[in-house]
Amino acid sequence: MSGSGTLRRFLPYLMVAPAVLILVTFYVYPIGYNVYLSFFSWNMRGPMKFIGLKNYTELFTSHDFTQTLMNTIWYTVMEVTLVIVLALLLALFLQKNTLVNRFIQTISFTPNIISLVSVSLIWMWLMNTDKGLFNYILSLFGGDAVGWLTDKRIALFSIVLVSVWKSVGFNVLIILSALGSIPPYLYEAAALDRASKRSVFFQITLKMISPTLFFLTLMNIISSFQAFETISVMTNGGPSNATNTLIFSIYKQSSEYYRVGYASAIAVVLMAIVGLITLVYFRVLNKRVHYR
Amino acid sequence: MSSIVLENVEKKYGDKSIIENLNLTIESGSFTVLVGPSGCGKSTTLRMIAGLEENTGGTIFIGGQNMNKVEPGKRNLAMVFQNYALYPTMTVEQNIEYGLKNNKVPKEERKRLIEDIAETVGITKHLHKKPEFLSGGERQRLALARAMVKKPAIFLMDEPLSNLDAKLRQQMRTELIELHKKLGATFVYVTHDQVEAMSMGTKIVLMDGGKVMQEDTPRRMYQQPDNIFSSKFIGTPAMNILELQYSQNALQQLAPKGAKYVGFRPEKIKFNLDAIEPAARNSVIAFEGVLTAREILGAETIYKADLDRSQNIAIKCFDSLERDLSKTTMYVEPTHLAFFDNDEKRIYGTNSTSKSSELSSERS
Ligand SMILES: Nc1ncnc2c1ncn2[C@@H]1O[C@H](COP(=O)(O)OP(=O)(O)OP(=O)(O)O)[C@@H](O)[C@H]1O
Ligand SMILES: [Mg+2]
Repeated sequence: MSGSGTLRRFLPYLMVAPAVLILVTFYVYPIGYNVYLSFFSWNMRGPMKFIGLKNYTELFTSHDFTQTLMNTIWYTVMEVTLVIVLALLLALFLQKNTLVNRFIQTISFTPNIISLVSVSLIWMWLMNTDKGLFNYILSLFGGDAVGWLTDKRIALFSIVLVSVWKSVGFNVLIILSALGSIPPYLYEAAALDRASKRSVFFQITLKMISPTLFFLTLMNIISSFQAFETISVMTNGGPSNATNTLIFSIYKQSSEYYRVGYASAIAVVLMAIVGLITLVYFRVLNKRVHYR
Repeated sequence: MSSIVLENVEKKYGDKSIIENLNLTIESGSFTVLVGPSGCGKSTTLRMIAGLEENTGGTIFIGGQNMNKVEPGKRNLAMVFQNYALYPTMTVEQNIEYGLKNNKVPKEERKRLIEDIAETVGITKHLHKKPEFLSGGERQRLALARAMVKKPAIFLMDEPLSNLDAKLRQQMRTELIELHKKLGATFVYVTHDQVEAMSMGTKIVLMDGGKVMQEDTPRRMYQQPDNIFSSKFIGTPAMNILELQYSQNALQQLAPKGAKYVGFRPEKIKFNLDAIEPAARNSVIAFEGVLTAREILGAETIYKADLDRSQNIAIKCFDSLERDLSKTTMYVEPTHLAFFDNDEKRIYGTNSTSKSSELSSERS
C-alpha cells in the first residue's frame, strides 16, 4: 500500500522533529538572528535600517575594537596559562593526600561555589588603592601603593587574578582525578627502566593526563571569553578601556549605547573566534593527544 | 653470577603479615617457577625481588650482593608484568627504547638493538603502532622484547601468559623455554597454573600462605610430595589421600609409625591384577569400591569411586574400556604408597616405600 509506504518514509523525520524544533528555536534561530541583526543599524526603538557590512568595516577600523580584541586575547592567555600551571602544580602537591592536603583540597574548591559578584566585591575591596588590604600589606614592607584596578597597565592582570583564584580549585580537582587514574604499574615499569624523576614526569605523568589538560584548556579559554561579572563590578571596562573585552563591549554597545547592530557584529566576531578555536581543538585532539 | 637468595624475608602490610621468614635460593641460570594458590604471596615475593615492594624484614641478595637498599632499576633485572604494563602513550619502538635511553645507550646502538629484538619476537612490522592497536599475543611479545632488550641477568615474570588463549599460551610456553635456553639468564616465573609450572620450570617452588611448602624439580615434585598440600596441588586429579584409621588392615599394617594418612596417584590404581608386575602381585593392596562417575578425556578416562566409610578416590586409566558404574575391585602396589603424619608431612624411608620404585627411587 502506498499510504503506509509514505508513512514509513516520513516516520523518521517525524520522530526527530521535536528535537530539531527545539534545536532550531533555541540555538539556530538566535544565532541566525544575531547574524541578521549585524547587517542593520537599530537602536531598539526606531526602524531597522539595512546598512550591509558597514558595522564590520567600522569594527575593524575602530581603535577601541582592536584594543578590546587584544584585551580579550591577553586576558585569555594569562588566565588559561596561570590556571593550568597553578592547578597542575597544586594537584601534584596535593596528590600525596595527607590530612593537611585534604584540607587544602577542600578549601581550594570553595571559591567555586561563591557567586562571582560577591567575589568581585571582596576583591575590589582588597585591591582598593587607598584602603585595600593588598596595599596595606605592601606598605608594611615599605612598598609603594599599587593601583590594582586604577592603573591601566595592571588592571587587566588584577581581573585575571580574581578569575584564577576562582577557577583554580575546580581545575585542581579534575587534574587530581586524572592523576589518580594513571595505573601505578606504569610507574613501576618506569622504575625498572631506570627512568629519572624528570623523565617519569614528562614521559608518563604529563602524557597520561594530556587529554585532561587539553580539555581543561579549552574549557578555560571559553570561560575566559565569557568573563563578565568581574569586569562589570570591579572596573566597568576601565580605566580608559584597559579591561574592556569583547563580551563586555557587546553588553556596553547594546545596553548602554543602544547600538544593537554594532553589538551583534561584535558577537558574530566572538562566535567566529570561539568556533575556530573549538575546530582547531578537535583537529589537534584527533591527531596529537593521547586518548585510550 | 645472578643467583637470588632470600634470607628470613618477611613482608607486612600494616599489621597484616603476608610473608613470614621466607628462605629461598634461586640458582643462577635456573628457570624457577613460583606456584601456589591465589593470594599465597607469589607476586609479593617477586615484587620484593624486583624492589618494587620493600621487604619489611630479612635480606635479599642478588649475585651475592645485598639488595635491600638498591633501587629497582639498578638490580640488573627485567620484569614482565601480568598486564604487561606497556606505556600506552609510546609506540612499540619507544616502549622498547625507553629503558635503553635511560641507561644512556648511544642512539646507533639503540636502533640496532631494537631491530634485532623486534625480529626475534616477531613484531617488526608493528614498530610504529601504539600498544592499544596490538593483539594480546603481540602485546605479550612487546612486553618480552622490552624486558629482553636490556639483556638483564634476571627475568621476572608474573603470570605473563594468563591473558592469552589456550593455543597461544601453549606456543608462548614453548618459546619461553627456548628463550631461557638461549639466553642462559635466571628466570623467575610466577603462575598459579600447575601445568605451566610442571612444563616450564627446571625447579618449582610451591607456596601456600606465604610459606614455601616444597622446592623441587618438576619430576620430584610429582613423585615425592613432601606433604599433603604438595600432593594435592600438583597433579590432576589430585593424589588420593585416605585416613588410615578408616582403611583396611592390609594398609594399616604397611604404615610406618606415626602415619595418619596414606596417598597414591590416581594413575597407579589398576582394575585387574594382570596390569601389575608379576613380582608385586602377592603384596598388592586391594580396594573394594563402587564406581560412581566416569569422565572420558580422550586418551585417558577418569573414574570416581566410593570406598567404605564415605572415603572416595579418583582413578585414571588409559585403556579404552568403558567400565560399568558398579561394584569393583582395584589394586595398588605398596611401592606407590606415600604416608603422611599427623602434621600432613611425608614420612620417608619406611619399609613400604624404600623399595625401588618411582615413589622413592630418586631421593638419595
Ligand atoms: N598493598 C597491599 N595491602 C594489603 N595487602 C596486600 C597488598 N598487596 C597484596 N596484599 C595481600 O597479600 C597477599 C598476597 O598477595 P599476592 O599478590 O602476593 O598473591 P599472589 O600469590 O600473587 O596471588 P594471585 O595468584 O591471585 O596473583 C594477599 O592476601 C593480598 O590480599
Ligand atoms: Mg599475583
